[in-house]
Amino acid sequence: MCYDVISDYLKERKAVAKFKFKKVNISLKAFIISCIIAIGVLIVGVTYCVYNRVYYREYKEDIEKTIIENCHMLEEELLTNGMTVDNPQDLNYQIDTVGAMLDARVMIINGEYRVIKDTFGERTSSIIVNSEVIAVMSGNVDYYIEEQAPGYIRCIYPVVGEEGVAGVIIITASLDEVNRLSEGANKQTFIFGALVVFVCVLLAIVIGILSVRSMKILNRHMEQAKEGGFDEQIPVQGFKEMRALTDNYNDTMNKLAVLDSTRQEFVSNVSHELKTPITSMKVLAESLIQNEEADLPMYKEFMSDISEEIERESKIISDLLTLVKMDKKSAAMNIEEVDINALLEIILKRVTPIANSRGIEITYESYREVKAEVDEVKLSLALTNIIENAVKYNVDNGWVKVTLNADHKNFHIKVADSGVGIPDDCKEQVFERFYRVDKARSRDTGGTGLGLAITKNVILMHKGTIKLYSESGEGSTFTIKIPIKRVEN
Amino acid sequence: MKKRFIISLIAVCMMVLWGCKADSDTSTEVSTVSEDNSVYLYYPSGDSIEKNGTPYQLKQPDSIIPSVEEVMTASLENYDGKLESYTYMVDDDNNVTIQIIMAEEPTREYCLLTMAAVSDTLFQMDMVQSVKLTLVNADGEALDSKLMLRNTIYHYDSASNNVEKQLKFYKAAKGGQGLEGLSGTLVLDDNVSLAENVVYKLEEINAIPEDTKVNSLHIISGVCYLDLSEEFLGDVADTKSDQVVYSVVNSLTSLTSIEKVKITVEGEEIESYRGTVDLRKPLSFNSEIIK
Repeated sequence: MCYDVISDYLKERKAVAKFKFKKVNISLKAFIISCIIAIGVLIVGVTYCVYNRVYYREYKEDIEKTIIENCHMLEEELLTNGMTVDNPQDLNYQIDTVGAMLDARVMIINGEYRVIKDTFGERTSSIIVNSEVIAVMSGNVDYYIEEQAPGYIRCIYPVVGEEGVAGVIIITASLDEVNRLSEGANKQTFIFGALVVFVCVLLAIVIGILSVRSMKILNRHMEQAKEGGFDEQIPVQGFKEMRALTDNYNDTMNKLAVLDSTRQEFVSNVSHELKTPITSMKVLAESLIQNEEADLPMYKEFMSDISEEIERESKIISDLLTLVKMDKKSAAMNIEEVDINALLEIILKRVTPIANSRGIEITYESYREVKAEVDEVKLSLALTNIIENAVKYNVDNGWVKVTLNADHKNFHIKVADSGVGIPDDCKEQVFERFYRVDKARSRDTGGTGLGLAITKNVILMHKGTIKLYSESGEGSTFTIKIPIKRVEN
Repeated sequence: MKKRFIISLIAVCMMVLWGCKADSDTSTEVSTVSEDNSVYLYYPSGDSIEKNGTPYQLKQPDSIIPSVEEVMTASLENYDGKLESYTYMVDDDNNVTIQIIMAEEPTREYCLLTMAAVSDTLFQMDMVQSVKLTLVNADGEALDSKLMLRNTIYHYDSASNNVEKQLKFYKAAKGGQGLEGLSGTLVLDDNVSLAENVVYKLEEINAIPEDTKVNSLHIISGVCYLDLSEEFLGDVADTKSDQVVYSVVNSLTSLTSIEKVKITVEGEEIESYRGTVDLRKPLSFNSEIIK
């Protein structure tokens, strides 16, 4: 029972598989060559058939015309001669000549249906019985001319006198000459066709090779790129499409080279940043070891410094992890409708004690209630970074101003401060990882150099933008724009 | 009886006269009485003649007079009343004379078809030598009258024409000198002349070189212009040049329409065939070479 079920299932699978197209690994060059040859052969074949048919038909029409002309000539001679062929003798000769010239049998039939002349010499004096002859003789049909199988054309032509049809002329001509000429023409057309096909094959091979040559070069470079050679550029040449493809490839390689360089720089930065606290800890620990007179308060102070370095190391690692998580394309966004006003108020509440300790005044201005579809945790982190920076890099007794506004599509957050500002040449890099405008100060304030990088990532994940307006010594303003409704890709 | 005798005598005289003029062709174009002594009854139909599907069974097949009467009487039924009556007479030489009275004035074509139908019907009987047929109208005026032999009616473009014809051919005699005459049969063809078939028959019996082809053959004023392929210049085992040439010439000139034969090869005139026979002029029948 079980076996039957499995057998039926396999049969079903087999039947379904039959309808699936097989993926055939066809070379583009072979495909192009085959197509051109097939088209060439098709054109030559059709031309060959059409030409031969036309050639044969034209020759046949010529013969038909000649037969009719000769019939007309004989008709006049017969009428002049009173439908006899014996006297004068030259009429008999004339009929024989017509037969020889057309390679035909000529029969003259008088009004009593008696054969008075047969160039084959076999039926003279016989009485002819034939429906077509009767039809022509009785005047029902003007004349007959049609191809007789095999290879003959027959004309039955009336001899029309003053008193009606006086007899008929029958000419049965061989089409051997037409067939022979047609065969000759066939041979010539065939040779020409074969020549055209040969040229087609050569052309097809050349076109096939040319069309894939650029691809082969591109493929070779890609193989090299796989091994890490991003710097090599492919010369742009060939067809329009190949030039576009090469251009795109070169652009991609340039970007990959930049990315590779950034990656190396990032690794270097990470190593450096992770090493700095460790070095500090090592120096502090060694100082304690080497100082034999160190007392307890000194130990406590040094250990406190070591603890701070450990905390900094931990923060760097935590920030790096956050960045890595955000870098992943699949980073999950926990989107929900969030009251942005409330979110900002919570953040400001958290930052206010730090600001107060330095006499910095924080003002918050909201123009309207804003509820948006965002990831609350991530956005909170980003906004906290911006506002904390505004406080940290501010002057004592300075100010920070946070405003919230919205239109029908986006909400806007502006964070302005009275801080030291950012020099023009640093504006581009402030969002890069581990970049610090003032390294010493940053370290003093406990910065990891990753805050703005994380912020920018979060804003981008929300399909938003972040812009910086700053003058050195005159404070900075960050403006953030995020869509109210979440837009999926 | 006396009247029948006189008609019969006239018919015989006419037959003798027509026989002298007529072609010596002895081919037959209609079927003969079958083994079960039945004949087909032919009759005009449109522009041609047809035959009854069922053959007529002769009651006295060995006797010509009752057979003719039976067949003619039976045939009348196929004419839809267009033939009113007939009279007939058969002489001692089995020459049949028939007079048919037409019920209505027929056309020229209907007269022809009637004569062909009666001829085809009667000539199925082997014993009938000739048929003298006269068609008259109701007033007794003759409409048409013809003396018909077996080959008189020519069914043009019909399978019934493909009949065999007895001919005489000449080929090299077995002793190595001269020609000997042979009898043979050929099938008549509407499109290929009998003369051309004769040449191919000579090739078949090895009278001329193998693979010789007829490029063209025309009979003009009794002269047969024969153009052969180059194979004709080849050898035939144990045969001299004059034997080859005159086997062609004598065989062709045996046909009534040919008096002389002019042979060319591939369209070119040959001064002498293998250096012995002069082919520049048309050649006539050579009786001296025949053994």
